[in-house]
Amino acid sequence: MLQLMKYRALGLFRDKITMFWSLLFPLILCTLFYVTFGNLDNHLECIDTAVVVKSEEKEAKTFGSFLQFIADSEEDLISVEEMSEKEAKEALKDGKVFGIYYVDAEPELVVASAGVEESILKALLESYERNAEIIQTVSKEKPESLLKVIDRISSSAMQTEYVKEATLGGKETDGMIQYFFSLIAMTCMFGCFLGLEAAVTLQANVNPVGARRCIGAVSKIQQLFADFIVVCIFNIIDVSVLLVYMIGVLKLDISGDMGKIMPVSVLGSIIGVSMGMLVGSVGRWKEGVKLAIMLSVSLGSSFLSGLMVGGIKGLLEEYCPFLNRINPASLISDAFYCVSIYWDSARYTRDMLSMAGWAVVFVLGSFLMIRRVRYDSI
Amino acid sequence: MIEIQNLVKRYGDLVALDHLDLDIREGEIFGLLGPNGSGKTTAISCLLALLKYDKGKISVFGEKMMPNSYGVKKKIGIVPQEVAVFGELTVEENIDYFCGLYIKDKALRKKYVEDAIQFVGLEEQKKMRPKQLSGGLLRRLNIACGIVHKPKLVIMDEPTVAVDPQSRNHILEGIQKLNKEGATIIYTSHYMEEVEQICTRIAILDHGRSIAVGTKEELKAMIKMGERITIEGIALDKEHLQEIKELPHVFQTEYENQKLVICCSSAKQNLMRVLHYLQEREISCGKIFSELPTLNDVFLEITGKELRD
Repeated sequence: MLQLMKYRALGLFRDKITMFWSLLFPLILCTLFYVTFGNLDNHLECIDTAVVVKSEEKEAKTFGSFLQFIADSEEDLISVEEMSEKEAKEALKDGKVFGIYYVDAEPELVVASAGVEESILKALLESYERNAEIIQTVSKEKPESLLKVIDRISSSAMQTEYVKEATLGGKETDGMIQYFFSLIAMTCMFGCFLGLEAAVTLQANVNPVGARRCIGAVSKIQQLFADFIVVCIFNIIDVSVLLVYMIGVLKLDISGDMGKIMPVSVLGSIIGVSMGMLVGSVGRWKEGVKLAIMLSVSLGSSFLSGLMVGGIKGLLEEYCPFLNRINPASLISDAFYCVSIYWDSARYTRDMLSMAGWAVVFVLGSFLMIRRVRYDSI
Repeated sequence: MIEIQNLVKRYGDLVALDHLDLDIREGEIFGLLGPNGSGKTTAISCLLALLKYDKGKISVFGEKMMPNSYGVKKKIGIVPQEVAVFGELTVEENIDYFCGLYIKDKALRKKYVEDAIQFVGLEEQKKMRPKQLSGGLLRRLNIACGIVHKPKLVIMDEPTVAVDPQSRNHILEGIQKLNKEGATIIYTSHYMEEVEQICTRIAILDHGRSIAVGTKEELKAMIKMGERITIEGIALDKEHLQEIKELPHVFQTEYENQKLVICCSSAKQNLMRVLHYLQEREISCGKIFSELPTLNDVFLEITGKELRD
């Protein structure tokens, strides 16, 4: 048994295609995510904004001070230029500014289109309006603290409104991290291809090596079990390398107890491998057909877990939560959320139990399909 | 050693094995000869309990063969038609892997692996991966993986397909050597020359039926033809051709492009009689040669078609 496992492991580690898709591809995808989302965060240009002073009232002056403070802050979020209304409108029309703030007793914002910059300008105004009363009270009663208060409000506005989003659990989290969780889930799910190969190479009607192994004096169950162990370990190593890369190299904030993250990785890997084994064991289709089925299932479940479209998991949670409960990739990414974001141990336990249940069903299913089988045709 | 009785295997309307009966004895090299699609591989797959069959009985080493007959499987080695090895393992590792399906003892396995490598002559290639081997060497590896555990029964399903002549000779010699060492061999092929060269007993299969079984001499004795005389570079008219046809023991002639083939029944002096006739009529010719009947002649006479049709 150990000898069979040794050679299966050697074969896996030497297979360049397997190594690429199981190990390198997730790392490359992770790096691409990091670079892309990093760009979104780090390369926002300073937003040119026109300011039209329509009133010299105290309330209006307070808003003008607020805008000036934001413009002078280190974040270089906006740059403001005072203009006449006509100049401002022309600048907006020519695309020289993204919006016009009207400094009045009741401040206004005019923008020409919808985009990230316009949203930021809108968020700043909303932030000011929410806190206008506080600012005005402070300016009346404790003018020396006004700058401090504006600083706090403006930094709060810059950090929360457009960088963070609300999660299903109602807590705030970095919206981009869900892509990385889905990526880990996808890597776990990629174990299905290894599981598929393990099952296919034990089937006399699909693969010539399978025919040779079928007539060996070691039972097929034992051979499949040996392969299953090896392939699971291989997949767990892949996922662990990805986690180390995310946390150690990219310094992503996947905060959470490693004692809980690792079981998710292990169970996720097992569920991926066992799913592949089941698909590999069922039916008389050729290897290519089984591979196509597996590819569809793994990508489909990764899609539904939010790998390609960030909000899909939330939509499913709202309209069809059952799918999130049975989709292995969703279960894996949700379990990571529970550990890192929600700190919801009941939900974590539910996800883990669901995964374990599926893994048992898949493993038993494939073992039953493959044992002592005699084929109709070879 | 192996008894197959009344074996029937259907694929829908197609009857792959049609009440096949075979009896293979210990110590022989038993040839299953037949054209592609005659049921050779299907018969082997049924024998190994890989394939379901509709009717019949199969017993190997006195036991009914089942998928979980691991005791029987230990005594069987298979060399499949397609090369069945792991591409990422070296020659030595592949052989060791498949040996591990039969032999648990590590030291014994090591010895067996060395023996198998030596047997197929892959000492210099043992650290190479399969993709680095030529077609012939790959076939040798395929054989090594099948015989490494020193089985009592070795089943070889067309092991020389797409193999160069040098490797083919090596393989055929190896099979005879295995047999001398005590293994019973079942050898399937559609190459009649190979079967004729190495097999001690032969079954000719066609449409899933065994149409003739025996030694090559017994098979050849079943047919009318005893000798085939071929004369090249000969110019004949209709009258001469008719006279040759009427010579004693001649039962068939073919004349085309100045080449004459005369089929004679088994008798002495056939060639002498033909030569005497040519001398009398002062008919000149190029090359003359005489051949004993081949298995193809046996197949042709029994089925009415060429073995390679």
